[in-house]
Amino acid sequence: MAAAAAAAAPPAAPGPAVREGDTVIWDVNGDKQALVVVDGKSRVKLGTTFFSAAPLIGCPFGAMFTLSADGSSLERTQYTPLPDWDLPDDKPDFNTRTNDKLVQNDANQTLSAAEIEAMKASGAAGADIVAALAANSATFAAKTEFSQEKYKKKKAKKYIQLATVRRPSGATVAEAYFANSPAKTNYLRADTLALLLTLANVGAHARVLVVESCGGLVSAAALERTGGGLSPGSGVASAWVGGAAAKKPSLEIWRSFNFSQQQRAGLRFAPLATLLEEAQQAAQQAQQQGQQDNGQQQQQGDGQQQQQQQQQQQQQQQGAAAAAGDEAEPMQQDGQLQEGEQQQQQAEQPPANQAAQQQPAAAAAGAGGPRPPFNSCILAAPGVSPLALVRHVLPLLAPSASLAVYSPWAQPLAEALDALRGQGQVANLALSEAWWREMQVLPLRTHPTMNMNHGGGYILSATVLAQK
Amino acid sequence: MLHTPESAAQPVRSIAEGDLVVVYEGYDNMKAVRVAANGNYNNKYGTFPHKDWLGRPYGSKAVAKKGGGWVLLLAPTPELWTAVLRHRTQILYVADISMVVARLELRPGAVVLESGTGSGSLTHSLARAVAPTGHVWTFEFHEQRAQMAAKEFEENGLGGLVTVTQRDIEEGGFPEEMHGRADGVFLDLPKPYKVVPSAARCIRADGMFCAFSPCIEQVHRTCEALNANGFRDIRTMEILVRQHEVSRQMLITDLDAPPAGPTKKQQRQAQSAAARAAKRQKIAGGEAAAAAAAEGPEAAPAGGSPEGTAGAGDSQQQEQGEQQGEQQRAAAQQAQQEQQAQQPVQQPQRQVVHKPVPFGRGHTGYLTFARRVAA
Repeated sequence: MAAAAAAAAPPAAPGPAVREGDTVIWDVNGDKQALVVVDGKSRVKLGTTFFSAAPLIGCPFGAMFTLSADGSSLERTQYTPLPDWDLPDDKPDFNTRTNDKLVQNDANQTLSAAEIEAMKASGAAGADIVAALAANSATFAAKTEFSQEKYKKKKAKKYIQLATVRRPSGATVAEAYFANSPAKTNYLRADTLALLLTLANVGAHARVLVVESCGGLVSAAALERTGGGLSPGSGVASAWVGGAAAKKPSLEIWRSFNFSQQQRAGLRFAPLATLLEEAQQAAQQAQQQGQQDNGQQQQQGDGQQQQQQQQQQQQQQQGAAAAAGDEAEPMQQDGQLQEGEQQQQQAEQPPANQAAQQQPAAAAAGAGGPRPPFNSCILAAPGVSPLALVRHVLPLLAPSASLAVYSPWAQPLAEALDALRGQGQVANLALSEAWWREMQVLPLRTHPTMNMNHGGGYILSATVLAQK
Repeated sequence: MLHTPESAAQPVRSIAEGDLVVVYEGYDNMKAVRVAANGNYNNKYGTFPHKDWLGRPYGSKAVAKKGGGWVLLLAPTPELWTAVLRHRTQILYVADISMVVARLELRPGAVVLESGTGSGSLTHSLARAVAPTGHVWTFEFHEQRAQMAAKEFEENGLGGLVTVTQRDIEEGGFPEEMHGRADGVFLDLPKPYKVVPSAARCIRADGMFCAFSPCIEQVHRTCEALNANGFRDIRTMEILVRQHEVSRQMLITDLDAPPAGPTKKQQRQAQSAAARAAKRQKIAGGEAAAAAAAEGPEAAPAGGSPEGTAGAGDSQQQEQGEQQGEQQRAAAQQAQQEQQAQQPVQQPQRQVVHKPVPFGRGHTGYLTFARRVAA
C-alpha cells in the first residue's frame, strides 16, 4: 500500500551534493554518527569494515549506502517506505494472538551462531539473514503482529547496515555530538542550542559575541545563522576568559560546517581581554573627539592610542593566525582522518595539530570578524560564574542587545538573575528550563519514547539597557 | 526588527521618528509603539511624549512628564514582537519557534514555505533566519488575516523577505511555481496530511518538512502520509520551556530557637509606612511600592510569610525589581528603615531559591519533522 504510493511520489528536485573536502555526518542506522571529511584518502565504517569514502563524492546529501552483496564495497541504495504503516489496524482478526505461552529460552532460535556466520561469509544479504532468523525461531509465529515487527526490526538493526550521508548543520552536528560524545560539547542539547540562538536574536548582519566551553559548537551554529560576515562589522566573535596569555580553548567544531572562505571570514577568535581593550579604546576615541580643544589631554590620549594600536596590531596578528586556520585546515583534517580511522566510533576527534593553527600566516583582507559593541550575546561556559561573566561582558554589549546564558545548573543562573534585577543594567530577565520529548508514532502504538533526556539545562535571558 | 547592514556598522542605534519601539513595563507587560513626533504614550505611571525619545539609544529609560514613573524603550526583535503582536489566531511561542527554525535547517538564503500565516509570530523568526537573500512564502486562507499580516510585515521592514498570499493550501496545495524550490516547508493547518503530497513536490532533496499539530490524530495521519510520499527520518516531538521564578527565602537553621515571625501588626505597619513614603514622593503606583516594601529583599522580617516573599517570579519580579522605579524603591527603603527602628533585630541572610512557576503551558502542539528523500 505505502510502497505503491511512494512509487507515485515524484522524485525530489536536486539538493546540495557532497564535494571533495566536505565534512559529512556518516550516520549508521541512526545509532552512530561520525563526522568525516570526504576526500580521496578518508574512510568510513560500515558494519565492522572500513571503506574508502570516495563513492560519497558527488552524491546528494541524504544519500543512503549499504554493503554490497559480497560485503566488499559500499553501494548506494534507494529509499523505500518503512513497512511500519503497512500493518492494518482495523481488521477484526488482527492482533488477537497473545504471548501468554511464551517462554524465554535460548533454544527458541534453532539457527546457530556458526550458521549465521556461514551465511554472512557466503554473501547472504542482511535481509535474508533476518528472514532466516524469523523462520527458525520457534516462537516467532506465535508472536503478535506487533511483536513480530519489533523482532524483525531488532534483528535488522544488527544484520542490515544502512548509512546515511547527512549535511552538517547546527541541528545535525549538535545531535551527533550529543549522541556520541556529549562531553565534547559540554552536554549542550540540540533544542537548548536552538533556544540560545533564538533568545540571543542571532541572524544575518548580527554582531554576535559567544563565550563557550562547548567545543565551538555554539560559535559555529551562530555563524551558520549569520551567514558569515555578510556585512562589515557582522559575524561571530568567539571569545574566552582571560588575557592574551590565556590558553585558547578548543573551538574547532566550526571546521565541520563546510563554511566557505567568505563565511569563515565572519568568525573571529579572541580572548575577552582583547575585546574589552577594543571597547575601551573605542570609548576613548569617542571621548577624545569630544575633547578636541584640550591639547594636553589629546597628546596623552595619542600616546595611549599609540600603545593600544600596538597592542591591537599584535592582536590582529593573533587574529590572522586564527584566520589562517583556513589554510591550515587540510593539514589538520589529515590529522583528523588518521585518527578517524582508529577512532571511528567516536563522533569526532580532537584536532590533532593545534600547532598548525597557531602558525602565523598572511591575514585575509577584510577578514577578522566583529568587534565590540555586540548586539547579540550567547554565554555557554557553565564553568564560569554566570553573574561574573555577564558583568564582565556587559561593557561589550550595545544597548538593547539580546543576551542568553546557558548552564546545566539552575542555581548559578538564579543567583545571577537575583543580583541583576533592579540594577538598571538589563531588563526582561527570565530563567527558563528546556524540556524536549520525542514520540513514537505508529498505528496503535503511539506513545512518548521510553527514554528521554532530562538534561536540557537552563537559560537566563535578558535585554541589555543603555547606560547613562 | 531584523539586523541590517546599518545596524552591523553601527550597533548603538538611536530612536527616530516612525520607528517601532517595544515599550517595556514589565516582563509580561510590553507594547509595540510607532514613534510619532507629536505622539504620547500613556500608562498608569504617567504620560510619555514620544519627542523625548527621539535621538536616544534603544535600551534607554523614558521618564514620564510628571510623577517620575518610567518605562524602557527596547528595540523590537522577533521574540519581543511575539510578546506584543495582536493575536488573530493561536500563535507559536519561543520554544516551538526555535525548534522549527533549527530543524528546518534554515540559514541565510534559504527559501521556506509557511501555511497558515496566522498572526505572523513564526513568520518573523523565519524571515530572520533566511535574511537577507532568502524568502518566506507564506499562505493564509483567511483573506482579512492575510491582508493584515502583509501590512504588518511591510511596516516591520520584512516586505522584501516575506510574501503573503491568500490561498487555501489544504484544498489547492502550494502553487506550482513553488515546486522544487523550497528548502523547508512549515504547516500549521487543521489537516496537514492533505498537504503532504504538495509539500513533497515543493521540497528539494534533503530539504525539511515540519507540521505543528495540537492533536495526536493529526500527527498520526501526517506521519502515514509522509512515509508514503518520499520522506524519511520522520520524528515527532514536543518541546516546552518551563519558566522559573526566583526569590530569596529565609530557611530556618537554628532548630532550637526558631526566629519568631512578624506579627500581623508589624506587617501592617510596614505596609502603611511604605504607602506613606510613596505618597510623600508623589509617585504613581504607590500601592505597588507598598507591595515592594512588604516583599522587598530586606523589608520582610526574618521567617517572613510565604505570601510576602515568594512573589518575585517572572511576571512579578520585574514589577517589583525594576518596574517601580528607583524612587519607589527609595520609598520602600525608607519604609524599611522606619520598620527597623521599631524592630532593631539583626536580619539573617536570606538565600536565593527558584522554582517553576506553578502554571504554564503543558502542551502547545506536536512538531513532526521529516526529511525529503534524495533518491
